[in-house]
Amino acid sequence: MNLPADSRDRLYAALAESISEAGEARESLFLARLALLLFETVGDEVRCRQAVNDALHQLPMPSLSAEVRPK
Amino acid sequence: MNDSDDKVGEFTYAHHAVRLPVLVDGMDPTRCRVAIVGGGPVGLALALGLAVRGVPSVIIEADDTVCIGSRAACISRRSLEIVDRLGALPSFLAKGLPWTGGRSFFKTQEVFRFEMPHDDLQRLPPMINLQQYYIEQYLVDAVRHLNDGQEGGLIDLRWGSAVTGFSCRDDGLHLEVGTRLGNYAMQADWMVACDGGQSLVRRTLDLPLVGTAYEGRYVIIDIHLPSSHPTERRAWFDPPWNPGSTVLMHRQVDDIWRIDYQLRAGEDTEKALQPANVQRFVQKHLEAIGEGHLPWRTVWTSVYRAGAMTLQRYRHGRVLFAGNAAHTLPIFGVRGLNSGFDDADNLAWKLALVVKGSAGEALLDSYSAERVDAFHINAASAMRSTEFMSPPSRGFELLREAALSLAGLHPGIASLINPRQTEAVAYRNSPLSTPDAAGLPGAAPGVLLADFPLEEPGRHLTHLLGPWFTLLAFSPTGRLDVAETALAAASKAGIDLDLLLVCAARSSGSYAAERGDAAAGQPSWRRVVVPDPVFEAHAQDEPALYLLRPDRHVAGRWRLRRSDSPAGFIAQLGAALKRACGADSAAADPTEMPT
Repeated sequence: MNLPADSRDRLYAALAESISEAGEARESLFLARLALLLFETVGDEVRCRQAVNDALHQLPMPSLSAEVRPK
Repeated sequence: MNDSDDKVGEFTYAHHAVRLPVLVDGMDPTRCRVAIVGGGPVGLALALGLAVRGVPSVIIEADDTVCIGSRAACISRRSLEIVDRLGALPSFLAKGLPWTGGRSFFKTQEVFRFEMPHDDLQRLPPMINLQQYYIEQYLVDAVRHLNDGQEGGLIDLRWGSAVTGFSCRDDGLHLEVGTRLGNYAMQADWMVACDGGQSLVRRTLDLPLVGTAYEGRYVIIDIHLPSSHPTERRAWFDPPWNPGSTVLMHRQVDDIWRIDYQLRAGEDTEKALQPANVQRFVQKHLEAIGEGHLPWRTVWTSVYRAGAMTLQRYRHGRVLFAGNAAHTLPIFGVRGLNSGFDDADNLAWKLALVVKGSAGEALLDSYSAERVDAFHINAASAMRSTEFMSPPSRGFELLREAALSLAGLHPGIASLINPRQTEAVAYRNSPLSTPDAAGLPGAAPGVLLADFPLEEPGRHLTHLLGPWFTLLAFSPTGRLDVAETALAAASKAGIDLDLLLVCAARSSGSYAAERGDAAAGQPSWRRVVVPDPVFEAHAQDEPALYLLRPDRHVAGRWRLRRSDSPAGFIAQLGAALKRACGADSAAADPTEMPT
């Protein structure tokens, strides 16, 4: 399943807006909820587990996103 | 116990007399077949399971009463089936509170409702609540009842007697027993440690428990509260009146309610148990759920920490372990005592066969293998519940809150909240099972055959099963030849076997005899008629046979073809019976009949 480029662009922006809207205090909880919802949507343990592994693989310490900038 | 020293709710504690056996030089001269260390529910269930199979035992119990304090409170359907065969079911059902489900709340919103499998065809409820002192008392009553009918009594229950030491010898055990009337020694062929989480037998043999212990602590408070709320399991996550914590509430008999709540990290255990703090916590909780106006008082308090730990083997020579002496499981999902009843049920028939000389000692190794396997299955479910009830790390904390906050609108995610109540465990790797090639619709080898209703109103399969093996022969035509083949097989194998010829209601008219005569040395059989869907759940167009162990797990199953030779089936059933009794047989032939 390939996501069309323009769809990916729109989803990227929508998620970014949502993370900002959630705010720093709720950022983790928001992303955790998103992950659980996507598991249900994907409905495939192997693919979900692969995504979890990929997200952890070479996970850097944040430098670009380390601090929350003032709006 | 705050009511008085000898009464809690409507329950009155009986203090049993301490007795010494007639001694010769400080020694009980009668060597016992089975010494059971500990007269709690598991020890009592084991003694009864041996006695119904004609095997005597001595129970050595340190206290002179049944248990004191908040202990097990939920009895599963599977445990009730076991209790039924021990003769104690009517009192359990008369007093216990049946229930089928529960609700979970996140803050104040109900986000999940669960129902345990139940329908009108079931004989027993999926769960009853009954305090452990009642459980033990009803088993003690069953012991007394059973002994009255037997000369001398098959169960010698020695109250106020503590095993203080023992030594293992090749041919048996030498036990030291201490009582307030004096000490004595006794000998036994076998010893079963049912002496609980702090097992003296386990510590004496220096056997380690291995597994996982969790940091989370729960305070357990039993209160007397005249509430009329129905019997169900309620769980509150992060309730506003106790933010950050998890609170559970269960109804028990005699208007006693159990409230469990999680201590936060760093909260002091002793401080939490101080009466003023218990008072404040409970009153606040009752007010929040609309019951703050009811008068209540504390009955018992204790602290619990979750762990899933086991011995690596439950047989060490002539010493066997059962219940909490063998393993400990987290309370969530109520697998503690319920798995102990399963231990006793699994061990009783095997030890009885070994003591009678009908099976070799290898059968007892299968007890260990099957029940250690069951521990791991139970522990996996219990630990998933525990990780939710008492998150062990930041990741579990975060995802729990994510799941709880989504559960109200997303039923799939809500199922993560399910407390995963105990269910019957299958012995899928059992050395006693005959490998299966039958492709039948019913329970596979190792699986517990689910109880089913008969056509006769109010009657179920479990009303008909005896203490030994049973062969269920499902006959699509209702004809007898299946039964005759099976009977010949059982008789040839020389093993006690009851035979039930099972017919579908639609074909039962074509059949005359109701019951076979049990000729000398011949197994008896009887015919039962079941609703058509029950028949179809076990057999198709050809006759099907299920060999049930005494604990109702399937040992093997076969499909009989018209072209099959009776001699071929007789040989297979004989081999399967020997295997189910622990004979060290190589992998049996696939179960298709030779033609």
